[in-house]
Amino acid sequence: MPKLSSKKNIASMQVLKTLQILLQGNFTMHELVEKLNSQEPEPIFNNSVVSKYINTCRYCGIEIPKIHNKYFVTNLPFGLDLTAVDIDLLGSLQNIVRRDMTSRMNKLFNTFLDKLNRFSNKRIMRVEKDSYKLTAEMFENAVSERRQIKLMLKNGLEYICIPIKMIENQGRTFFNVFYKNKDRMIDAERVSGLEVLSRKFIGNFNEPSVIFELKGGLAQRYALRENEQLLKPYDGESIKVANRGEGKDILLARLLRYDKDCEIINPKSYRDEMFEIIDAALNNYGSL
Amino acid sequence: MFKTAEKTDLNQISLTGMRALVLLGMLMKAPRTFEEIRNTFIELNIMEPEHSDDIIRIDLNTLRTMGCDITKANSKTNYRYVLLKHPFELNITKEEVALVKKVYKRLKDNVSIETLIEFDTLFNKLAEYVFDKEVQESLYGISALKEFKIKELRELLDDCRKNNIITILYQKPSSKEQSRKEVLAQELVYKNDKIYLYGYDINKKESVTLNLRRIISVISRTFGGQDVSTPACRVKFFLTSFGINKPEKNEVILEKHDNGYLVEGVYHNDFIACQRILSFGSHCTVLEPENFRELIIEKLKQMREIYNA
Repeated sequence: MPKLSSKKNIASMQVLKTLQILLQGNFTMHELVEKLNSQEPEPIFNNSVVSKYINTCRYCGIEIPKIHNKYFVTNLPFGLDLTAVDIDLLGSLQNIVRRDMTSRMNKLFNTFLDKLNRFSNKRIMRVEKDSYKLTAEMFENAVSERRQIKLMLKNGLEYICIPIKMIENQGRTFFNVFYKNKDRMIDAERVSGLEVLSRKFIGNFNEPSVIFELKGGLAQRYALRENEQLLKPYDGESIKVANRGEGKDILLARLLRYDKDCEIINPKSYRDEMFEIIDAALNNYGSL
Repeated sequence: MFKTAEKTDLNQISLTGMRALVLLGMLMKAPRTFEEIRNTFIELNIMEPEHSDDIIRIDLNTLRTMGCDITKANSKTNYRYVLLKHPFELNITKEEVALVKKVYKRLKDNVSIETLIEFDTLFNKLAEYVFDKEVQESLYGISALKEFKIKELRELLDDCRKNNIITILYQKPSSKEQSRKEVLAQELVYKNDKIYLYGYDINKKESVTLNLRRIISVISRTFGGQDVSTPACRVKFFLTSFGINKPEKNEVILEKHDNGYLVEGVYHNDFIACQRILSFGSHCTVLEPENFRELIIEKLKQMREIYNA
């Protein structure tokens, strides 16, 4: 007689195996039977027993609808316990993906939500595939294929420019482009259309590394960002920082905030632009 | 969570299979004693009172064979079976976590500390549900509050809501010296990856912006709606464009013109107002008050001097 510790219940294992497969994806009965049998030394699963096991799972409160002939789990009552607040938070993340991101990102986020749906005890909103913002996708394709683009703005202006990258700031999306020899950020809200041109661009239009010096109390308390590197540590007077990829307009607006405690060292184009901004700001108050 | 098995349904379902699912569900929710499992099984009609306890032991073995790591129920586990690992894990990929992080990053600067706390709870909840250590670490690492003590944040939020006066030990940025401050708590703000306590220094009689990282401890609290007048910095300015910025909740567009907006902003103090106005660059002209307008002009002159050299 086998020892109790080695005894197990075959039917129970088969139910658990069925659930395990169902948690991995959406399958027809035929696919389910095939998948389950592929794990066994010889076929033991058939339509009738798998139906019984699916019913057993359903009896235990696991929601397994059959849509387009495919079975899938939509609710696991003893799974991840998501609250209404959690669902709202996931919804707010989902809205950003739907509004601003490419279809590849939407698909990836959809997969993530699908997994949470399977494992949680709450229903999460699913992504509507027709609401993807295609402009972002076209822009990113143009960057990877190194093609120029025509950005059409709501006010009727058109920019034939070189796409660099998409940038986020304070919850808003910008198209970072190179237009008329200048690095520009165009608010996605202002764009009514985008055309990818057949004309290719050559050269590297990525932003340069920007070096700035911080003085006084700011130098002591400054916390480096993810995209920054400390070039010179605090020497009693100042620090030097290299920044890459923050987006020119975002970086300049931030460095302006630092007042006279900040000075851009390199590149000269950024330094010149900073001077132009400050000079123009002073001109707002008359000739000073 | 589970319904009672009816005799009439038994030809449609697998009774032993149901026991395995119930046992798995119970252990996924919490560690259980042998008695709790037995009582639940009897309650759900999937075990008769006269049945041998061996049924449960075999069910536990079945789960173990399926890849569940279940401890023994002994004094170390308070005589409970603890499910340490199971093969029904939430299989989130690193790529999915990276996307969630990217999206959260877009959102975090525009939400309240309360919402950031809710996100923190959600990410921790997901992390606890995955077994892949790397994915788990990445999930724990998403939250902007990962290095803050949530309990302390909640207490400070409460202080702000009730306008409590708190006595704190504060580490000055410029030296290693710590100072004691008596501050009327007003608002907790997440800005530029830091959390600031906006308050009013009772002794110095001025508005203060304190980096939370520098608050060593809260020594005491004086509860309830303190009657302290706290001056704010009110600025009227003309903006040709918000540029890369967007209006803050403390800014009101008074008039819209063809060439821009007349805006009034109320800021916690002059320092924060200055930072905000300067960040608009040449899009902004301060109109009122006169002394603040002069302050901005002076700052711009000093800044121009740096680049003119």
